[in-house]
Amino acid sequence: MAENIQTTIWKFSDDIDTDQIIATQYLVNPDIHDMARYAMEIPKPDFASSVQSGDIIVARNNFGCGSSREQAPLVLKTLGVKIILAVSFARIFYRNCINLGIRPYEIALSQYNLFDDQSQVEFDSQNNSINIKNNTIALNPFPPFVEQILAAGGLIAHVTQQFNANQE
Amino acid sequence: MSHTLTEKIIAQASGKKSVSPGDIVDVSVNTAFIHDVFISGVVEEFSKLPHKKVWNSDNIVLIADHEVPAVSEWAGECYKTMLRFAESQNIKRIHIAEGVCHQLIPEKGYVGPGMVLVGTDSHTTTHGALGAFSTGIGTTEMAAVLATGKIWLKVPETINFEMTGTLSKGVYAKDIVLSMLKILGAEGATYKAIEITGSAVKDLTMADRLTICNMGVEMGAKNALFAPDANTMAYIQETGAEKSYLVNADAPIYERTIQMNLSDIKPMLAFPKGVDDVHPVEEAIGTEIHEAFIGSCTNGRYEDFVVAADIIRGKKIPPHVRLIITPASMHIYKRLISEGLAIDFINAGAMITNPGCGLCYGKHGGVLSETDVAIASNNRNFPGRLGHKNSQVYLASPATVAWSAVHGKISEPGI
Repeated sequence: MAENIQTTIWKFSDDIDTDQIIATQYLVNPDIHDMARYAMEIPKPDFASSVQSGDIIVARNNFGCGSSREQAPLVLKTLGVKIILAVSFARIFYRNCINLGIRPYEIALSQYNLFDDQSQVEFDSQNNSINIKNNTIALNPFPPFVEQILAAGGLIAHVTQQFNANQE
Repeated sequence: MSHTLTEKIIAQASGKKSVSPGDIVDVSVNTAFIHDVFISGVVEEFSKLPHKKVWNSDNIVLIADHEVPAVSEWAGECYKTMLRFAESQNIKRIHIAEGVCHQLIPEKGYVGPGMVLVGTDSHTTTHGALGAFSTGIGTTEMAAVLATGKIWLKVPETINFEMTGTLSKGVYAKDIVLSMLKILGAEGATYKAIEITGSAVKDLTMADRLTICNMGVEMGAKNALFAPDANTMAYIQETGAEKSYLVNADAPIYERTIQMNLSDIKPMLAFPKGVDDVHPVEEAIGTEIHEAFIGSCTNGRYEDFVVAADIIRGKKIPPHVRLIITPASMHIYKRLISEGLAIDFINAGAMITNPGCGLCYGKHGGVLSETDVAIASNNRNFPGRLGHKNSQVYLASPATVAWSAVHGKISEPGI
């Protein structure tokens, strides 16, 4: 049953690159949960210790630029981030999110400006929208092909489903 | 119907007559490559899939370049994972410590015009230099490519850089691409293709084109490419790359065209704020530097070292500067030795390292301290990218790096 969920906003500015999301020196860590403790260490040192499952990241332009490291979206997923809103995403990061089952939504700059860091907003999962300060931000649906991957929980699950369907 | 080169390649690879920007299509991949940092992740994801065998072992390339020689206790396990995967999947194209992926792939003939190439490194845009569609992907996506030989792509719009004129003395391909970054910014081509056209293109060598396409991703581009021409065909004649995928644009319609007269371009720098904070070198002249780096998948080619050696030969690097030379492949390294360039660098006081990526991602072989200022020929200078988060990195052409190294401070080539 769909319900409205109160959630906290973590707000970032432009060009948060994957080195900032998770720095190179932590990539060797074989334990993703341990690695996730260092997420956003440079731009927001208290992020990893304070973020709650279901919290929403809001960023301006070019979120996730830089190296193709999949650990960047993976540490965010590990910390419970399921939705990222940005004015624009870097394309490899955007695809990595979808492939891991995280929903990356593009929003307008005017919508970005409505959000305050650490503020509480209401996520309406039935209408796929966010209620903030008497405004409703409707999140744009993904193309059906992409929605299939997200609905499966990511690309590995999706490709497995397709393989199994072809076997039958 | 009119189509850009990117649209023609995607149409061919998806078995469609034509595609338009915004279409989502399933595309057959010609070459997929994985590098050492991500091999474990890819193999782990692949093992979760029901497919026991890769789609085509002849089309897969495995390259250890980021972690060579081993930089941590973990690296040796990456090589072993790579070797085991190659053996179990009968993959013959495996290269450990032979060079940087974006040099080895063109050099070994693994990419040719009209092909679709995907790789786990973000600088995979490099191979558009040969007229291929080439882009970086993540580890999960690569596992799916290994299993199916296919990838979904949203057909990008194309930004056309139309280049005329000729480069002045002391100005190089790196200055062209830094100038492109100055115009577009770090996100100006996000999700889009970049095509470089115009009368000036015929004078750009393959090394020049590889430099320019390499940094396409720094503008956010999905891919960056040059239409194949006589230079391309001469290059692949030597490497033995496949020619049968060759396609040409067909009265293309671009999202927009940006005119660039190469005669107007000066030597440029990306200032430490980021790749798109681009200024003429003259604005930073006199800035003291502590490390100078010539190498990387952007500018570690033979042609780059010829330019640098002509500047450095017979001179001494001042004691406060560490000059690091990193040829992008063993093939290039051997040429530096056999043609005497290596001796020129060593006599000037430089260190020559093995081919690899360690310095460019702040891992090993030139890590910067808090107060270090570096001038480097690579492609990224995000805060902390090459070491301490307060270190400062200026990106420049090999010529500007060489002049600056000799003078111990940022200097304009030939001045």
